[in-house]
Amino acid sequence: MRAFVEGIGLVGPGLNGWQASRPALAGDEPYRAAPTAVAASPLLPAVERRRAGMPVRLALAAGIEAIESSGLDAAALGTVFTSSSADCDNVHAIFESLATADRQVSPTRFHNSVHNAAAGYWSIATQCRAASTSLCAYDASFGAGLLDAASQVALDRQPVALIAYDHPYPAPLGAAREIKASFGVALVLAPERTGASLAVLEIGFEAQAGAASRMQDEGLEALRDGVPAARCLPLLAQIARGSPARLLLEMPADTRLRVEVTPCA
Amino acid sequence: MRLSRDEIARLIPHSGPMCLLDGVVQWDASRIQCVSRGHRAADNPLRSGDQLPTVCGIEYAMQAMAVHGGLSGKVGSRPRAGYLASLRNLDCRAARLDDRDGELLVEAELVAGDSSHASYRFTLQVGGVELLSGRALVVLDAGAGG
Repeated sequence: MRAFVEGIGLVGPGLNGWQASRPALAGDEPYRAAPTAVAASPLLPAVERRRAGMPVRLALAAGIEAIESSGLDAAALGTVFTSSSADCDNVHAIFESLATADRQVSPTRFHNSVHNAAAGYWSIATQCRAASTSLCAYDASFGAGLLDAASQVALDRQPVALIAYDHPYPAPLGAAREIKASFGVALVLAPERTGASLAVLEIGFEAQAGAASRMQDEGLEALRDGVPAARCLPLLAQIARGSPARLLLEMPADTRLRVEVTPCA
Repeated sequence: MRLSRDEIARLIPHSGPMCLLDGVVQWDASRIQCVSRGHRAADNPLRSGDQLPTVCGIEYAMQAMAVHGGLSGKVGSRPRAGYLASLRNLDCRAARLDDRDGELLVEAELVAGDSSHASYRFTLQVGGVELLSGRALVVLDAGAGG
């Protein structure tokens, strides 16, 4: 299955946007980790902006950046959201409420507790009414999302935005499921090459679990290994470098997604 | 019957009671129609909570797709690994498959595909009543079969 990458959005520790992150991803500049900085989307109305937690901010910031560089209309674009655990802070807060004597969960907490909350905020921010899918597949969440988005592009011949995001659980849940940083990434995928195309991806399935592609830089490799959404990094690095490669990304049930990436000149 | 249960079992990786189809009624390059009679059996391996939920019909459709892949030469004689990548437009019109008389008939139509993937539209009926329909995409391990 073939898909063209029309835009990339990125927000993570020391990674502030796709353009600013390219030199570090390409290995031309050292990677310096720093706490993830992301503001609530200005596209959200004030009430939703207050309610939106860090995971929603990550998804919106990455998604908007990718779509702006693609030149496509966010209001008309189908979306695939993928996240291992979505709003981990919210889960923690609900558990805290449930551990008190009155066990009252705040309506906003309840409202944010669904896995597709980010898709809901997205449709409010962008006025998008196109189809949206929300996935989770533990450490393979990015690969599962990429397969779903690429299959929609290949079969429906329409562009789709893939938005992957993850955020750490606070203690004590963080000890049981460690997600090491806040990270959001978005790829706008399209069926045909355009003036905005950054790369072409040929995507296939491999039943046998060859070693997943890794990052050369130690800090970026720790990020890739520590955050499910950051499993996209080898793909981004190849596009940043401008050189073709054949990558293997994790998929559920210990299988692999084969991604042959060829950057567009 | 164009193909018996034993012939089906040679085309797909499933065996024993998990080989759910009893025969191929007809097929051509783009379509297949299969029949099954075990949907009311007490020992159906997909039974859950003393019934066969309609969503289990997806597995019947997947096996029909796999048989079609083998017959049409897309997959080759040796079963290759496939992964159900997506299900869309799934329309479930009843809660269960085992509470009406008649054979279970599953039809799958190839919409698009090449050596790396196959997309099918499928419908499933019991006793002539359509209970389930949808669209499925299976990705194939191109490495295993060339």
